[in-house]
Formats: sequence, structure tokens, C-alpha cells
Amino acid sequence: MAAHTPPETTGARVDALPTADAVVCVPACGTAEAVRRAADRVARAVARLSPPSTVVLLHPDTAVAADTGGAGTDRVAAVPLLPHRLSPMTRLPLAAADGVPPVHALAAVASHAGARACCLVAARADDLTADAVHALLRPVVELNFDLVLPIYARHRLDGLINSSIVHPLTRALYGRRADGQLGLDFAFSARFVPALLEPTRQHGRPRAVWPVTEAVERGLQICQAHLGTWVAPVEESADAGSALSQVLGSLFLDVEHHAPVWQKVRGSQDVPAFGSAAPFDEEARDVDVGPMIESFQLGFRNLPDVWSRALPPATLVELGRLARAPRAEFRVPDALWARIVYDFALGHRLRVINRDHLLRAFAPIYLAWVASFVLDAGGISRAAVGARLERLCQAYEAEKPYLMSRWRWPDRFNP
Amino acid sequence: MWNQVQEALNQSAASVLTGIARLLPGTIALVVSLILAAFVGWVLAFVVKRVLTGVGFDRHLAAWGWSDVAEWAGVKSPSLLLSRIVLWATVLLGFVVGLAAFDPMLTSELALRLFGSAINLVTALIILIVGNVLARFLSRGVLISLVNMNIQHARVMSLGVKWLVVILAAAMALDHLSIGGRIVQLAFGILFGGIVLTLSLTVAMRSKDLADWSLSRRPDKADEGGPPVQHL
Repeated sequence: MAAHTPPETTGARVDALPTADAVVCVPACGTAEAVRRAADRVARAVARLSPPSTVVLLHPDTAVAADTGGAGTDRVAAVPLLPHRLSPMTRLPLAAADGVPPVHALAAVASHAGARACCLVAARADDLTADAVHALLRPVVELNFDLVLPIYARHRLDGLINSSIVHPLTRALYGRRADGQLGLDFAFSARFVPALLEPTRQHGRPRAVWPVTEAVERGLQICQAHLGTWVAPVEESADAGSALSQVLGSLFLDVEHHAPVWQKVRGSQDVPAFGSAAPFDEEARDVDVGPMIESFQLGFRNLPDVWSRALPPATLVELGRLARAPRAEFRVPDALWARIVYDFALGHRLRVINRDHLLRAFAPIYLAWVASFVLDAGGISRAAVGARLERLCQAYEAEKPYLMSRWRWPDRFNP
Repeated sequence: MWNQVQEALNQSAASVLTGIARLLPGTIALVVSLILAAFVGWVLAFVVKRVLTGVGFDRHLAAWGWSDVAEWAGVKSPSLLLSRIVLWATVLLGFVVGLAAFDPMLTSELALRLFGSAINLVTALIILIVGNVLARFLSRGVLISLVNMNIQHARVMSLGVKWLVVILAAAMALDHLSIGGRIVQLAFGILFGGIVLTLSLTVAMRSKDLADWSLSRRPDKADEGGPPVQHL
């Protein structure tokens, strides 16, 4: 693999470093103390790998400038340190709000250093554990996997955009049963690095890298690793409209870009998972679905002109029926939901209206699904919730031919 | 005396008949020119529409984000709009040709005056088109944002925004053409002020919704202990 020259700020220091088996990037460790703690934990994680591996720690250069007057400390716990200008991460996978995302710098350094594995750990120093780093690196270093996705222990009512859209859509399109695409901690092999070095901007906007898509396109091996409880290291958008616009805008662009890949995939296969699920004490939450249902009903009254640009009349009739349903019977059928997501993906591709408007108009329908899910999953066990989401994923797979026929013949897309 | 009256009547009748006879060929030429132009225009419009439909003009325009262009003119599709423009342009040309049959100088003067105001006319049309497209875009964005904020009168407010922009564009176009003068300015001021007042009253009446939204930020947030539902 041809080495990629990292930016000039680190080129000289990378040349001075010995070759390393792994590069670990900790973009959230912005102080010298945080870097020291992270280096200690990374050293303990790497010490457990077999065969013994050397590692370099890539961290924000603010840790050097702020605490050491620019001189920096080269090693902590025998781990060489490499300061680098790292842009703040966003909630999108492997993307930055502006500038070069940390994963791009990580890939460039790993490529230059000839590393077999590289790992992005987005957790802050307080939340970063040696077990998590070890769980990410081991499948790549010891078992020859190319991509390690995270599995977090989360409340059933957290990460609903992933549960309702990202995971089932990715599974149906690319045939991999892995739900860690919206995580922020990943590990990659040297074979995966070229995917991370591609341009970081698309149409003038930050381009997110959807790791499962890239792995499937290149025929690489994917696995998952249990990383414990999820702690958000970056600020998350408060309202559904902004979150949907941010995530789905990038996801639908990725679906459009990789259409030749997913149209050849049939069915789905399990992805191996390593480590054991952390015990999670799921507290009861009192959720009032009334406002969500009212939001959906308000959207149905005010946005039919917008929805009709993407949704066929039959779907609008179903939504009308749902808007009039009593609360106890308020349920969004899985097949209907899958078709709605597919129709919006197609509408996004065809630019039936301004794309940001389209995705924000999707928010009331999404809130209807959330209300329906809360009513379904409120009083059942975690295993039952898992089965409920599994049925949703199967509905996406069953409706994939619907998407493919509409995708291939957009002239017939005439809602 | 009766001979003189008779002679005067004969002279006036002859002069009127002579005038009519002088105008008649021109009038017939004008009518014939209009009929021919209408026929040619219809044929050209048919050809233009078939060609545009064949190359998927409507679909390409929608893909470029100009799906609203035809709606402002009240037609179903941009290709139909273009074909109608071709038709009426041909009819207009036929009218000008017919006018030349009366007096060649007439068309020269008309052409000079038309050229003089053509640029203003085109600019005014552009202002109207841009204003209309912008109005629809903004009103849709406002509608979606207000619905997501759970504002009940979202549609009223989005219509208000739309008409604000449309009236502004129309006033600018008329002012550019120097039509109406102060009447247009006065009417614009009254309408604009009325719409702003209506929007203000609507916002004031729904201030509770706005306050609830600004405090809660989204409809699924609990009162205490953080949001019970996390989207990301």
C-alpha cells in the first residue's frame, strides 16, 4: 500500500518515530493530563495483545501547546506521542464539522508509519478504558479483521435514529447485521485505510464515511466489539429535525453514491461480535407520547403537499388512518415504515424538493414511529425489545425490492 | 342651398368611404396575419412540447431544483409553459407584421418604443419570477420549521411569509416599469404593513406555544432529569 504523506505539521515527527504496529487516535483528549491518562490506558491495552505490538498515540496538538509551551513530551508509559491538529468531531461517523476529520489524520499517520491497525477512540480521558481499546484492536491485530464496529450498552429509548433507520437500512442494503455505524469508536486494518484517505468534502460539505458501506464495497471483513456503556463525547442535536437532517442527509447521499453495490446484495448475514455485553441497569423512563403524536398529527394537517412529493397516495392514506387512530392503537406497521424511509431516500436522490426541507419534513413521521415504539417497547423485557427491532429489520429486507424497482425506474416514481 | 347641402354630404361621405377603403386592406391584412401567426404558433408550440418531453426537460429541471418554476404560471409543467411562450410570441410577431400593413412608420416607432422598454420589461419579469420562486421556497421552509416547533398556526404564518415576498417582488417590478407611481407604493405599504401586523398578532396569540417550545426544545422532552428519548 502506497504511503500517504501526512500534513506537514506532523510529517517530520512521524519520520522521527519508529515504525509502529498500531496507531491510536484520541481526539477528545485535549489536555496534557488527559493525554497522559490515555497513553497509560492504551499502553495497558496493547500489552495484552498477542503478538506484542508497538503503538503510537495521536492526540490534539492543543495538549502540547497549552501545557508544555510547545515543547511537548515524546513518550508516556513507553508510548510515543504524536500531536496533530485535529478538527472537532461531529455526531456523524468519522466526519468533522470543518477541516480535516481526526480519522483522516489517523489514516494518514497509520499509512506513513506502516501500521497494521489503527483505532479511533472518541471517548474523553475519564471514560476511556484499557478494555475498550483492547476490544477494538484485538480483532484487527490477532484475528485479521478489517473493520471493528462498536456495540454499546444503551437504554432501549436511546439511539432511536439508529434503531429505526440507520441500522435496518444498512442491514437491508449491504447485508451486514451490524448496528454500530453511528458509533464514534472504530478500529481499522491497513487494508481499510485507503477508504479513509478519500476526499473529506462532498459538494462543499463535510463528507461522512459510513464504514460498513466502505467495507462491503471493498470486500473487507467486519466484526463488532462490546465496549461497555455509551457516553456521548460530542454534543448531540437536541431536536429530531436537526438530527434527522444531519444523519439522513449524509446517509442518503451515501446510499445514492453506492447504489451499484447494494443493488447486488441479497439477504443479510451475521457479523461476529467479540467481548461480552456489559451489564446494564435500565432505568424505567416515563415518556409521554402525546406531544409526539400531536406533532405527527400537526404535520399531517400542514405538510401533505410536501409529503406527497415523496410518498405515494397509498402511503398517505395509511398515514391519514394513523393520524385518526386512538392512542391505544397508535402503531406504525414495520412494512409501512420501511417503505416511507425508502421513499424519502428516493425523493432525496431525485431532489423532489430542497433536500434539507425534505429531511426536516420527515421529522413528524419519525416522531410517529418513536411514539409507536415507545408504546410497544415500554413494558417488555430487553430481549423482547431486541426481537421487536429484529422484526423491523426483517421488514426492511422484505421491502428492499420495492426500493430497487423505484430506484431503477425513477420515471415511474410519480407519487 | 339644397345643392350645397347635397354637395357637402357627398363630400363627407366620399371622404369617410375613402378613409375606410384605405384602412380596409390593412385591417384585413392584420386579421390574416394574426390567423396565420396563430396557426404557425400552434404548430411550433406542438413541436417544442414534443421535443422537450422527449428529452425529459421537466425531469431534468426538477432534478436541478426548479420544480416550482411552472407552478407560478398556473401550468402543469415547464415544457408546457415554454410551448405556450412560443405560441404567444409567434402571435405577437404576427400582430406586429399586421400593424406594418397600416403604416410602415407605425411599426418602426413601435419597435423603437418596445426596444426602449424591453430591458425594463425583462428585468421586471425576472424580478417576478425570482420573487415567486423565493416566496415558495421560504414559505415551505417556514412551514416545516414551525410544524417541527409544534406551532399550531404554522400554515397561516407560512402563507404570510409567502405573500410578503410576492408583494415585495410585485411592487419592485411595477416600480421598475414606472407603472402606477405613488398608488403602487401606497398599496404596497398598506398590504405589507397589514401582513406584518397579522403575523405579529398570530405570533402574539401563539406566544404560549413559542414559550413552551423554547423551554422544552422538542415535544418528547421530559420536565425533569433530561430527555427520556434520545435520537442519536
